[in-house]
Amino acid sequence: MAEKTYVEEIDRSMYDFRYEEKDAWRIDAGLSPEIVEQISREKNDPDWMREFRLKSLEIYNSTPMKDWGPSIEGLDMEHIATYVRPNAKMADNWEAVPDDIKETFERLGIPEAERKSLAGVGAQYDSELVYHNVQDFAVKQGVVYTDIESALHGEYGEMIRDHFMKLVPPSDHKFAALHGAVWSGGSFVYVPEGVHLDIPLQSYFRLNARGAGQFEHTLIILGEASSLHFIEGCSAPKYNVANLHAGCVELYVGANASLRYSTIENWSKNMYNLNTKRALVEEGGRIEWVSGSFGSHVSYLYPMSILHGRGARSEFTGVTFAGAGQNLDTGCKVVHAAPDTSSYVNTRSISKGGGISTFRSAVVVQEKAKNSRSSVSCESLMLDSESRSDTIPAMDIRTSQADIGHEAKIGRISDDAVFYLMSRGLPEEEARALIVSGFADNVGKELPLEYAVEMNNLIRLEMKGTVG
Amino acid sequence: MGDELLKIRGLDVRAEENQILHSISLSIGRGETHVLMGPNGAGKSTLGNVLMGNPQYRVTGGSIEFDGRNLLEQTVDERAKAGLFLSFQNPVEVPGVSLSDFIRSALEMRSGERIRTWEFRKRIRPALEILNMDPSYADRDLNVGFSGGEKKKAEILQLLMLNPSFAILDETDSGLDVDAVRTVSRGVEEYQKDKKGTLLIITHSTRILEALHVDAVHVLVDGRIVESGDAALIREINENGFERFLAQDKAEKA
Amino acid sequence: MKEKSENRQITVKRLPARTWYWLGMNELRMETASAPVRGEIRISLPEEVLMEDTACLPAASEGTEEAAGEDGLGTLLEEAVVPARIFRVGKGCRAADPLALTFRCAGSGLALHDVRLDLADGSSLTVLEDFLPSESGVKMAGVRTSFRLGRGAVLRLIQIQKAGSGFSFVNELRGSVGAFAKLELIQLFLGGGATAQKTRIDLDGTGASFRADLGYQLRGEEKLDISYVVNHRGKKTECGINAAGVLRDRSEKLFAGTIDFKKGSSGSSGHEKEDVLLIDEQVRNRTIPVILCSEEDVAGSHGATIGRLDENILYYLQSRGMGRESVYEMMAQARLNAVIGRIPDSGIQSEARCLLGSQETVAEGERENG
Repeated sequence: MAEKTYVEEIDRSMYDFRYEEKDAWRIDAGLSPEIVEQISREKNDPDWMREFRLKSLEIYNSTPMKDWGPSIEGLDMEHIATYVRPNAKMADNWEAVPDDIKETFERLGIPEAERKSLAGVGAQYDSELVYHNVQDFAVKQGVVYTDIESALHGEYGEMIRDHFMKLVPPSDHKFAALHGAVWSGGSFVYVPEGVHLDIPLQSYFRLNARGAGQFEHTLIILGEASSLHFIEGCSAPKYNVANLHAGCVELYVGANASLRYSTIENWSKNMYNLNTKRALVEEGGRIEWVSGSFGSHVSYLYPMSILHGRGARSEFTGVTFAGAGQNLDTGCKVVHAAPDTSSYVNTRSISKGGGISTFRSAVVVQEKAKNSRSSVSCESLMLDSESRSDTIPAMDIRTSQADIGHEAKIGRISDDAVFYLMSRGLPEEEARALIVSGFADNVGKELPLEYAVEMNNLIRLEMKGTVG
Repeated sequence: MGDELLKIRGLDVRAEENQILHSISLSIGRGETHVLMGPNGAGKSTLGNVLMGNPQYRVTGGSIEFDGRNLLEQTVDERAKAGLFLSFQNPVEVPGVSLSDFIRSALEMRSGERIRTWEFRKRIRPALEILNMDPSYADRDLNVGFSGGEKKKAEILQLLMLNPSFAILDETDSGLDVDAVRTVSRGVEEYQKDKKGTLLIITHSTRILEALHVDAVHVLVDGRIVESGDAALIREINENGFERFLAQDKAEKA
Repeated sequence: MKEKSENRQITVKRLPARTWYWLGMNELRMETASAPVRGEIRISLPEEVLMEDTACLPAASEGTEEAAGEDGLGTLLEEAVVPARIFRVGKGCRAADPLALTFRCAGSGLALHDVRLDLADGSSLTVLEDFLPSESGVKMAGVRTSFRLGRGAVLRLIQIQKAGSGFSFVNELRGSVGAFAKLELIQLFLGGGATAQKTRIDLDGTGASFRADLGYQLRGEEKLDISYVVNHRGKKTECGINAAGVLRDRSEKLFAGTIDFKKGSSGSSGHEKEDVLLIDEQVRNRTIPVILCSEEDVAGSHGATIGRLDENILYYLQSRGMGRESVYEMMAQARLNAVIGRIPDSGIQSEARCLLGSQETVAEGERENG
C-alpha cells in the first residue's frame, strides 16, 4: 500500500487483530469501538451521532451473516476495519488506477481532466467547482443541497436527526449496521413545501470528495407537493482501492410530492456492492426509481418503496447487465401499507459470458391496503449458456380487495431479429448490440439524454466479443 | 303508445377528466323504438353505458327515471332485474363459463327457480334458430374466441332469452357483414314484435334499421342532442350523412 | 429482508417428527406415543397392471436428488419401515381402465403410504388417487407417490383430496420422465385442514413433457402449501403448469413453483400460470413463481393474476342481473370446473363434480348455521 491510511496511523494494533487469540470477541469484531470513536471525533460528530455509531457497531457485531444470495467470500469480514478508510482518496495517483478503468474512460470519451477527478486524483477538482455552482442554483430555488456531515451542525441538524437511519435502521441487516457505524460522506437534500427544482441534482458532483463512494449516506426529504429529480452515479466505472461499498439511501416523499431517483451503477469489477435504498411515500406521493446496474463483482440491490399514505405510488424501471465474473442479485421490494396504493415494476436483465443475474422481488399488500394495484413485469435475456439468469419474485397478499398481476419471461435473442438487422447491412455483433440496447430501452428512455447515451455505450462495450 | 318507461332529464356525464354528455333530455314510451344516431365520438355508447351503470362514468347532473323509479340509485344488477338490458358493443370474454350456463344462471336469478337442462335446451332452441346459430355455440366459453359477428349474435341471443322490458342496442351492427346484419335484425325484430319490448338503438349507420319500425330518432353531436324527429330523419342521414348537424352544432357554439 | 430468507427456506422441507413448522402450522403435532403405520388403500386394479407389495425395506429414493437438507417423507417412511406398493405396466402396454387408489386411513395418529408407479417404454396408464380419509381418529397422513416413465410412456395422474378441517396431509409426488414420455397431472383440492403438496418432476429424457392442472378452493381456516419443482435436464423438454383457485373466509395458500432449466436443456420451454380469486377480506395468498436458468436456448415464462375479479367482467355479468355475490360464486365454480373438465376419464370427472357439489352444500349449510 502506497499510503498509510488514517486508521492505521491511529491504531497499529489493528494489525494484531489477526493474531489475537484470547479475546474471541475481538477477533470476530475486526472493528472496535475505538476505531468508530475516532472516526466520529475526526468528523466532529454531534454527541447523538457518536452514540448512534457505537450502537450500530454493537448491532453489527451481534448480527449473523445472511445465508442466501451470492457469496461474499472475497470480503474479509475478519478485517472489516481495513475497508474503512474515511479519508482516503479513491486513488493516490493516476498510475495507481487500474488499466482497464483507464481504457474505459478512453472508450467512453470522457475528457482528460474529468477522468482524473472521477478517479479522485489530480489537483484540479473540476467537479468541485461544478458542485458549488449547482449549490448556488439550488439555494436560489429554496432547496437545501449540501453534504450531510456539515449539515449535522447547521439549522437542519434536528431534521436530519429525526430522519437519519429511521427508514433503514441498523437492525435491518448486517451491512446496514456497518454503515451506521462507519458511514462517511453523502448528500443531504431538503425540498421545502411546494418547491419544484428544475434541474436534476447529481451526486456525481461530489465523487471526488473524501471517502466518497464507499459508505456514503444520501438523505432526501421532500416537503408536501414538491418535486425533485436526483441522479446518482454515472456510467464511468467507480474505482476504489477498498472494494466494499455499503451505502445507504433514504428518501422521504411527503404528501403529494414526487421524486425521481435515477441511478447508473458501474462499480469496477472487483467491488462488492451492498447497497440499501428505501423510500417512504406519504399520501398522494410518488416515487420513481430508474436503475441501471452494470458493474461490481457482487451486488445486492433491492430499492424498496413503502407506500405509507393513501394513494401513494411507486414505479420501478430497472436493467441489470451481468457479464463475466459478475454475480448481480438485484430487484425491488414494495410494501402496500395504505389503501388505493399502486406499484409498477418493469425490469430487464441480461446475462453474458458466465455472468449471473438474479431478479429478486417482494410485493407485500397488507390487510389495510384495500383497493391496491400492483403490476410486475420482468424479462430476462440469456446471451449464452455459460451464464445464469434466475427470477425469484414473491407476493404476499393479505386482502381480497386488490388487483395483483405479475409476469416474467426468459429467453434468448431472436434469430429472426438478428437476421433482419443483418439483412439491412449490420454486422452480427452490431446487430446483437442493437437488440440488447433496445431491450434495455425501458431504462434508457427514462434517463436524461447524456446518461442514456452513456448507458448505450456501456452496453456496446459489454457486448464486444460476443461473437465468435 | 302509453306511459313513459324511460325519462332522462338534463343529464351530465363525465369520464375521468372530460365531460362527455351535456344536459341530455330524452323520453321513451313503453313499447316504442327510439334510435340514437350521431358521428363517431359523439358519446352515444356513453349514454347506453350510463343507463346500465358502468362504473367508468360519473353522472354529475340531471336525473334518470326508469319505470317510475330513480335509476341512478340502483346498482347494475338491480337495474337488470328491473328490466334493463344492454347489448354491448364489445362484450368481454369470460373464460370458464359457457354461454348456456351463463344464460341459465341469469334466468334462474330472475325467477328464483332452477331450470332443468332439457327445459332450458327447449327454450333456447328457437332463439338459436332465429339467429342462425349452431347449437354448439351454447357450449362454448362466453365470448372466448368469438369473432365480432359471433359476439354480437351472442348478445342478441341473450336479449331473446332474458326478455327484458327495455333493451339498449349499442352499435349492434358495426363490424358485421351483410348476412350477419340481416340475422341480427331478425333477432331484434323478434324482440320488437313478439315480446313487445321497448328499444333504444344506438348506431351510426342505418343498416340495422331497415326492417324495423321506428318511432323516433335523436341525433347526438358532441355530447348534446341537437335534433329529434321521426323516421324521416333516417332517410336524410342516409343521403346526407351528419354534415348538417355538425355545421349546426358548430354555428351554435361560435 | 426476512422475506428473502423465507424464499430459500421453502425448498427446505425438512420434517422433524414433532412439529411441521415449514407449513407454518405449529399446532400440528405428532404424538410420540403412536408410531406411524402403513395406511390402507382400496385398490381397483386394471388387468394390464401388475402389483407388488414389498414387505421388505423400501429402496432409497430413486433417481431424484434431494435438495440440500431436505428429506420430506423419506425419513418417516424409512423409520416406520413402510413397505411400498409398486404398480408396473409392461412394455407397450396400454391400460384401458384407470388404476384407482382410494386412501382411507384407519387407526389414529399418522398414516403413511408409499406408492410407486413404473411404466415401461411405450406404455400408458391413468391413475386416480383419492385422498378421502375417514373421520375416525386419523389426524394426519402422508402419501408419497413416485414414478418412473420409460421412453414414450404416458401417465395421467389425477389426485383428488377432500378431507375435514381437522386433517393434516402431506402429498409428495416425485419421479423421472424419460425420453418423449409424458406426465399429465391433475390435482384437485376440495377440502382439508392443513395440506402440503410437494411435487418434483425431473424431465430427464429428450422431449420429456409435463403438464399440470391444479384447482383448489379453500374455506374457513384451511391452509394449502403447494410446491412444484420441475427440473429440465433433457433437450427439448416442456412443462406447463396451470394453477387456479379460490380463497374464502380466513384461508391461506402458498404457491411456490420452480422451473429450473439446467445446462444442456436446450430447446426446452417451461410455462407457469396462476390465477387466484380472493373472495373474503381476511384471506392470505403467497405466490413465489421462480425460474432458474443456465441454458441460453430456452423459453420460460410465468404469469400470475391475484385478487378480485376483473371489473369489466363483473360489470358485464351484473348487467345480466347477477348480484355481485352470485357473480363471484359462478366464477369460483368456473375455475374448478375448468380443471375438472380436463380429467380424461368421464367416470372420474363425474365423481369430481359430485365431490365439488357436495362441498358446496356443506358450505351452504355452514353459512346458514354460522
